[in-house]
Amino acid sequence: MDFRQIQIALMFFFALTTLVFASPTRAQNGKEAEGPPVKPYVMTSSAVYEKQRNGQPVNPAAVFSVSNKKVYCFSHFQDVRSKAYVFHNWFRRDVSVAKIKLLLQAPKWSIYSSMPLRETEKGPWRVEVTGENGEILSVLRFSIVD
Amino acid sequence: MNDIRIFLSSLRWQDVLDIAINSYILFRLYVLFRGTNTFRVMLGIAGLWFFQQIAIYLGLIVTSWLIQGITAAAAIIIIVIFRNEIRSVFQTQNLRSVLWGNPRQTKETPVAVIAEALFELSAARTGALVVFPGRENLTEVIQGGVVWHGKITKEMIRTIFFRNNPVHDGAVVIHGNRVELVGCILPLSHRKDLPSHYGTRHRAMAGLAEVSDAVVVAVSEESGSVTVAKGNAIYPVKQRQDLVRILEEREGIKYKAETFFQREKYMRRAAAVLSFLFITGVWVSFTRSMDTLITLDVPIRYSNRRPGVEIVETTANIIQLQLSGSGALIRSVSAEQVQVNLDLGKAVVGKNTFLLTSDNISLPPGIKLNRIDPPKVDVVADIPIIKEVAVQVDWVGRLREDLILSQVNLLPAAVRLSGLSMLLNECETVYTEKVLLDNISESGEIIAKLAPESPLQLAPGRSDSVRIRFIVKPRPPEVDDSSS
Repeated sequence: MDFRQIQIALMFFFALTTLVFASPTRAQNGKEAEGPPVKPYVMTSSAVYEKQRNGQPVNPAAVFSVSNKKVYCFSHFQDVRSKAYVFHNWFRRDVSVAKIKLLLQAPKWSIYSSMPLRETEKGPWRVEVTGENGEILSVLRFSIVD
Repeated sequence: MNDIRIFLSSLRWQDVLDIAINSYILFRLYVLFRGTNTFRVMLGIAGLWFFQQIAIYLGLIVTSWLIQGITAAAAIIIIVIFRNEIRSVFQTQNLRSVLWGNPRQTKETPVAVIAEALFELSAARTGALVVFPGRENLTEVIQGGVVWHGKITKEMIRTIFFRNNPVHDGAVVIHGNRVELVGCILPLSHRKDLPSHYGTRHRAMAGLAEVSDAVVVAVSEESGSVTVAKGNAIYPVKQRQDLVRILEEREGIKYKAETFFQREKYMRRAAAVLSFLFITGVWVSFTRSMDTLITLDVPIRYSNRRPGVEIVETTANIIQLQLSGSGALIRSVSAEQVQVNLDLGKAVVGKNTFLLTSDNISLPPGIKLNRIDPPKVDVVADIPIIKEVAVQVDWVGRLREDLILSQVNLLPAAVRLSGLSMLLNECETVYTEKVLLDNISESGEIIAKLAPESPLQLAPGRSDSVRIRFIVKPRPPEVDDSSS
């Protein structure tokens, strides 16, 4: 092997090495490349309502009469890129009452859950809207009164 | 052999010291009280105790109970009846003699000097009365007397009985090489067979000899005769050498000196060995017998708790211990003497399970632990923390039906609470006191106090009130909502 051949081989080796270490595949495997998972949606608003009519929320409020029999929690989203689950966690005085799993899938960009009201369950309530990994998207507080 | 090895290996240094101290005390009691009536009664009590143990072993209920009663009564009798004897033993000795040495080792009485002095008094027709005490204490029988405590010389004896001497009429008491008392009054004999020429001095001589083991010598003032009394025997002494021999026999010198001291040495050694064996026997019966059971409820003492760590809950605060030991020891055990200690040095926040072993229990010596109930204790430990939580209004009552409470804003919206971590970690909201809706007709502002759930508290320096701004809207007219 003459000098020119050795020179070409060395150049080829350096080019290959540079290519391998600069590869984006390697960067993605490293820890520094990891970040919080990007949610496939953006929540725009969430509120508790007296009732729903034809799938539309009616009368947002902070206090509900137990005579209404039910309350509704609506969450509105945009840019829903893929199927995802959102949870409505209902609490009465910090005690979990229900955890409702809701499917969010385009073109359905609003979801809701409801909670039947009983005379014995008057008092302060809250609904935590969370993502699939438990991340809190919104906390809604209201009271059930006479 | 193996049992002996196990027994010896189980001995603590405290046990050895315990036996040694009590053996020595018993031995010293023997040395101090030997020959006294107290000692004889004490021997009797020891014998009774021995028989009581045998009766207990054989299961003789009434016999053991009876002996126990007699023993207890005898102990009191000793103190009451022989109080003077006991007192004299301790009064006549100094502390060193009580604790060490042989207090009975008396100086040799100069009997030749005394005999010579008495025969000189006899020749001079001078009356004399001399008492040589034996083993018995004469405190109860001799009255009066002046403490003399003078070293015996011929001249001194003659001086004491010199006619013009105020104490010449009484008796002299000789101890060792000293005249202890002079002018003593002795009990008179009431015997009818005494010679008619015997006066008061001779009757006193006979009287003391009858009631004690003392040897008493009298010199007659009228005839100059020398008479010796011992027990009920009274015999005249013609020659000085005879008196010397009689007194030397009494002292145990010359004829029996060597035998006496040799015997004394053996007796003391035997007493030391017996004291040791007796106390060892008592110690073994007290500490090694495990025939009695007792169950005690003992509270747990928590120790070594880290600063800030608090005990929230325990599965047991009182532990039941079953103990065994000899009846005498078990009867004296009280709950205060038994401790259950739990070291919380390694306790973590949350539930900690501790297995109770004998290491956690401290017992009086000689008591054995049989059972621990419950054998384990769960302790929930916690530490105080501060956490920020949201504030929420606790609305009550009824809002007018034509109104909707559409929005509520709080200032502050969150407050810091302090409390134990496990409780506070479960807490996400602090509520206000109840706020009435009935009077609300339009938007407005209310101040309400916060009411954190006990035992949680607002962090120091924080206001306990919250400003509630609320917006009330008229309820929109109802539309037909048959679908809702």
